[in-house]
Amino acid sequence: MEASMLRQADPFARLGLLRAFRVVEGDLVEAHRAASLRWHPDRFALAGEAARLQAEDEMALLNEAFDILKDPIRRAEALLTLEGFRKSETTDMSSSPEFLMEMMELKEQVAEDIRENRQEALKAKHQEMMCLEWDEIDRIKTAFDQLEAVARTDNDTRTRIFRQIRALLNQINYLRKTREEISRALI
Amino acid sequence: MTQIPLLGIEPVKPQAPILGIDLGTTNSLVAVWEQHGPRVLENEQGDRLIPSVVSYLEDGKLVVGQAALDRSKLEPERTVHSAKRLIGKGVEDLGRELATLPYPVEDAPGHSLAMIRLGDRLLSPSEVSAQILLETRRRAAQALDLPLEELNRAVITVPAYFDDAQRQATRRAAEIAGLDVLRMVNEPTAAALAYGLQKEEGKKVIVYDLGGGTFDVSLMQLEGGVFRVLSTAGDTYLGGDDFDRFLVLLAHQEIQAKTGRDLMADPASRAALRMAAERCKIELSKQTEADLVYHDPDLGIAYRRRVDRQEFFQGILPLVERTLDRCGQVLRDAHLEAHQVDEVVLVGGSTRVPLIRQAVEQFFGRQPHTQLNPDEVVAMGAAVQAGVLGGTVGDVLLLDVTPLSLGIETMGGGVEKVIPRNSPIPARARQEFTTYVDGQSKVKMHVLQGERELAKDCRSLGEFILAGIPPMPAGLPRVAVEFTLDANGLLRVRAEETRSQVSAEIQIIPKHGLTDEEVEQMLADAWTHAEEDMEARRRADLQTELERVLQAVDKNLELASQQLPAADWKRLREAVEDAREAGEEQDVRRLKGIMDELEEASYPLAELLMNQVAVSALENRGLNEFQDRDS
Repeated sequence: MEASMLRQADPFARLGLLRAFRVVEGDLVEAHRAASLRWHPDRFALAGEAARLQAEDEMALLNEAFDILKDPIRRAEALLTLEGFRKSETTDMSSSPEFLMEMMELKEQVAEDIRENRQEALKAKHQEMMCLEWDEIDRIKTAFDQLEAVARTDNDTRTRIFRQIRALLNQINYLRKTREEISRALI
Repeated sequence: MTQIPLLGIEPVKPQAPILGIDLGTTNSLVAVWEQHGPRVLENEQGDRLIPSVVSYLEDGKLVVGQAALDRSKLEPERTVHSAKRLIGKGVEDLGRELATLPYPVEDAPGHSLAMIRLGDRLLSPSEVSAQILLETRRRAAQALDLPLEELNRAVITVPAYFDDAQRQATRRAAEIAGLDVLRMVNEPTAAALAYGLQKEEGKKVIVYDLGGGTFDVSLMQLEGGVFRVLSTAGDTYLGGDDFDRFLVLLAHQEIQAKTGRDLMADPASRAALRMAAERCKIELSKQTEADLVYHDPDLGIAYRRRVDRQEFFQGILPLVERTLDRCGQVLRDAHLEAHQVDEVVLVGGSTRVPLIRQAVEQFFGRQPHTQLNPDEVVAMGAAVQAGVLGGTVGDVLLLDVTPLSLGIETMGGGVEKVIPRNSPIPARARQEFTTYVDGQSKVKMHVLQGERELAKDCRSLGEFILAGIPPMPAGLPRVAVEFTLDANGLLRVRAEETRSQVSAEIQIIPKHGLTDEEVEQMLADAWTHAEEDMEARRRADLQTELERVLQAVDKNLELASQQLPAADWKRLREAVEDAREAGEEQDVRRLKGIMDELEEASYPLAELLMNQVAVSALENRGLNEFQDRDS
């Protein structure tokens, strides 16, 4: 386990970006573009097996870092890990009853739409889920902003915010799973 | 951008160009990068398309390309076309496709790999594709006047939606054809390269690629010379062949109703019917109605039927709608709306069908690019990529994605995704698993590709076993599985129990692939006499060509002696003498030299003759008519 943690390294550092939840998409794309021009295996096509394999390796890591940072959820997870906040500390965090009720209702509707193959309704739900997801991401953004204002020594407040972020992430993951379900029915 | 100098790497000596090959379902092409642009190579008759057809003759010889297509009318049962539809597939994957193939298909002994049965021969689709690839090499050798053995490096295009097994099988085909594949490029991405769209900074581009047998759609974003693929989707069982099938079935049903004959039961009639359907389809792209004609005097069938566009469009509409569904999926995956797309590019011969153009234009609300020949654009893009890899095109880079998710079967027949679809490649990802039984010493890894939730609905890429795990309680072992997907989209899987460091690894080939021994055997077969055959053919072609020029010169020898300047006349005379003596010349290079010299030397005569024709044309016909002909 320890070994695999080390391998993951810091995706922000790999792409030369500041370690923060707020990432400007243009900066991220540009950082990845510049690194790709340098490390893509196509640049080493005639450079011999060893150099090419090294490039494949390097590029795979760059792509992984890009994928993590591009996705706000994975980006948030990476930040939690980098800040030393482990998954196991959050088992007691659960979503609000309101959220759970809302989700259960939605899930029932989706299941029915899928059964009846109501494509238009499903498309609308897909859109709706996306909006809900963005709302949650905004909340995460605010939480990370708060975190930055807290002194690094104030462990209690930090832990509280971490837990709050973790709960929001759980909710998003739930939204995402439902959205993927819809997405599959749309194909 | 320049390449980073690396220690210990020899400077590259000038080498033969890297071939850019479009290995298509119906036709294949080969192109190279030349100074400022891609050039599609042609034969001496000026043909660029090489029909992807191979005929296996009774005497064990084989013919490829146009010659094979010509033969297929005479001997359909000895001819293989559309091998690309079978590559990397097992018989059980083919389903309803099976019934439409003109040749029987069966699983190879020992593994579930579809093989083509031609008489007592059993051919793998990779083997057939290898012959087509060899033909593209020969074409290049001829057009570039380089020895075949020097043209051994290539960029080969594959449908973006090809899965790992299909890519592996294509790579095997290249191996059998003696080609070192420097990169497999996805067809739509190659097309975007050919259009030189990298100049369109910041734009989002859709490439809609409908070929003979496959459909791909890719969405990409252009950033200062970089083509970043955002998402891709497709269908490896949808193409122009399916449009033909609508017309084939139409004729078949009507003929059967009238005469009681089942033309589909006979391979020769089926092949003839297919060609009739294709002719009608092509005609319908140019005119609003066309005749579907099928004659067979032996069976007393004379069928002619008028088909109008309306009827044809109705017939293929469900297929067109399927392609638009995929377009919608690509947009959803990239979180974009149709109106946010800046450019639309149409690729593949089937996009000549007017309905396709209308449908795509309507869907995206903008007029698609069609400037480049849709048959050639993929090969041109492959040549651009060859230029990039060879270091002659410096300002372009492709960042592609994997079209299908990759994962591992979990307990209960589910799938755990390890690399999701549309991940940029090369990619690497790890996932941890554990055991379910106390003291379990082995774990079976079943590698899958696809989007479905159950393992049985996904494409099985292979299985391997991680053995030797020391006894531990269930749930305690940590089995880390690492997927590595290279820039060609080829997968390697490694598993390790991290507590005991027991590991196992496979390059995914076993289930649908060929073993190394099989490839070696095919390699040997493909190359037996290939070299000699090729030399002999070129020699024969050159001698025919020489004969033709000699005859033309002979006819005008008197005129030449009277009207050519002395120096030109002397050079021509000498060249003609050399050419006359060349009848026995065995060395192809020398023969080519003689041919070139004769052509050069006869140029002043040709000019003389052309002027004369122009003068006489002006004298004999009125000026008006001459202008008409010209306009």
